[in-house]
Amino acid sequence: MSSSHDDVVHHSADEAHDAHEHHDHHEHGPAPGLMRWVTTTNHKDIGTLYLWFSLVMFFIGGAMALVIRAELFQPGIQIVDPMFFNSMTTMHALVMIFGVVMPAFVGLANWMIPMMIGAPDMALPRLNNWSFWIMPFAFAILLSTLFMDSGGPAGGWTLYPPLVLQMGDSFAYVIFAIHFLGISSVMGSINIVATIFNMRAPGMTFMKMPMFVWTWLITAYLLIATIPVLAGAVTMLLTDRFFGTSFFSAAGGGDPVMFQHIFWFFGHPEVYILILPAFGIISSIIPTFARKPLFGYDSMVYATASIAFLSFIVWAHHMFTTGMPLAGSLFFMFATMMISVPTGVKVFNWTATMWRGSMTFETPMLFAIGFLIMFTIGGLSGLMLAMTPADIQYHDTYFVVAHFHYVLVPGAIYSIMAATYYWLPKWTGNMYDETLGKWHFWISTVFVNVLFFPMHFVGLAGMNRRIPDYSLQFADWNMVATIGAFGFGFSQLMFVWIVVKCVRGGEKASDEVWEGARGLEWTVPSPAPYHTFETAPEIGPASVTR
Amino acid sequence: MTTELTKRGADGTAVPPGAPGEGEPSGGGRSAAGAVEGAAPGFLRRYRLPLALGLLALCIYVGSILYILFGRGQLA
Repeated sequence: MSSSHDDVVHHSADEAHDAHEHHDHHEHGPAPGLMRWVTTTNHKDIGTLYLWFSLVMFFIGGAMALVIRAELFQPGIQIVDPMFFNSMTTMHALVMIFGVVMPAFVGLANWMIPMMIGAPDMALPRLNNWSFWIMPFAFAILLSTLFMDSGGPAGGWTLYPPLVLQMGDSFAYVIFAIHFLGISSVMGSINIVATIFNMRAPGMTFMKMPMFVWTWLITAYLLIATIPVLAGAVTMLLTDRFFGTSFFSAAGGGDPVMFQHIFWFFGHPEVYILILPAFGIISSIIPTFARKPLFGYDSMVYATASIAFLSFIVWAHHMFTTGMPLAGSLFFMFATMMISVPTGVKVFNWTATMWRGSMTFETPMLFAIGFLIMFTIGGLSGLMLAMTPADIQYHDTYFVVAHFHYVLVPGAIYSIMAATYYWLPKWTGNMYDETLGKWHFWISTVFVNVLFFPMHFVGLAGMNRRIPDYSLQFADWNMVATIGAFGFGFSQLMFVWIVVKCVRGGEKASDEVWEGARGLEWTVPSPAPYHTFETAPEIGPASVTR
Repeated sequence: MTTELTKRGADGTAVPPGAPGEGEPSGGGRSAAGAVEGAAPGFLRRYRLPLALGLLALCIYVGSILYILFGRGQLA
């Protein structure tokens, strides 16, 4: 840490301590009882709510995944009927995307962005409260469809017509829930943009912001631009299903393929919504444990912006098999392959950050390195899928399932785990159990590969996705994958144990927590006071804030 | 708008005049730029950024439906 950073640290930490005491004794703290969580407008409380919600949904979505894998343990229909199996694949995706990864990142944004930019709270605290509380109601509605006569959605999370329009009346509830989840996301994104633009501490220029803040700023714009497109698409599905319109019904002059275009215009940027904040987290963790500044900060910012831009012009690579003009195929193929350039810049920069660093391998770093290696595996299989002629072979096989699960599980989920271990001492004031954390990482990493790597093999051999039954030749690798699934699923109970144990007590964390940590969040006491940076810290030109 | 947003405490209640940092010129995003000295800006001016972003989202939502209706000839 540089001396200029020390200046910021002491100045701000003292102020934060003073402000903390001042508030504890003379002004408002958290409200007592359960109403604290219902009415809170505090960014830390709301961040905590998002993170716990995400954890609960992780186990609900995970249980659905285990139903899927249990059914696929052997060929033939074993445990659930095919309709319910299809509901499980659909709901698993919706829960994991909208209920786990996105809320977890929003929770981390709530906790960390104000502290990283030296702000006292989010710009719009009441909106923040609404953004969160809409979500549990939306998911209650979505999950309740599983108990309705017509069952839950079973046409896949992509909701393709005409299949999805064959669903019963519970479809209206699904659409309603998706609309509300979208409203929650857009409100949260507006709040994040307003916070970053308006609430930065004096001297905190854009190019002094930590990468996590940058990646969230860009992600928030992606959300604002794409979620309304999804909302428009599902509104049209609703009117097609219940009000006699024919937006996507070929019989009425509509175009089902048009839905796919609209959906993926949302869906592909959504993929980057699920991974850009992860890039920000990894960009925070690797420099800390390599004890070096992030290599190529500027290029990281531009690479993130480039990925965001490119994400808008690649959507039809999900649709190569629908048929399209050769020029279209070529455009979407090359545009998709171009994404590997800024992504490669990031992977290079993370690796270069570690180069000749004084590295240590605490649990957050292990998860970050796990992310780096396994996300790259997912990226490379994505590059294979980008090639039109190859994609026509791979489309709708387990190779695709392997690809996006490598990106999302040892990618996005690992980054969330890494972030939790990294910032948990700052949140709770206690160190987590490092030995258990390392066990959690290694057990998870073994089983996540046992789970997902065989899917490449069965996919390349031609096994279709979204089916409850399969040919005998795929039996062995499916059995292996199912063993991996249960191993990975149950190993996550360790994570809950470690987090709960840390919340309840443990070795006291210092303010800085990690020897190589940089940034304003480490200048406040551990645990972070209920109110921080009510007096904005002064950031000098030489201050280290990222 | 920028200053007004910082004048709200963590629970959304207004920070009283004279509170630490209040009225002092500051840099970065929490500057006084855009605020009228001594006058409370109106709702629209105070929340112009979030309102603009919300309007953008609404326009994209409506636009995506109108595009299918008119641009793709569904209404014809």
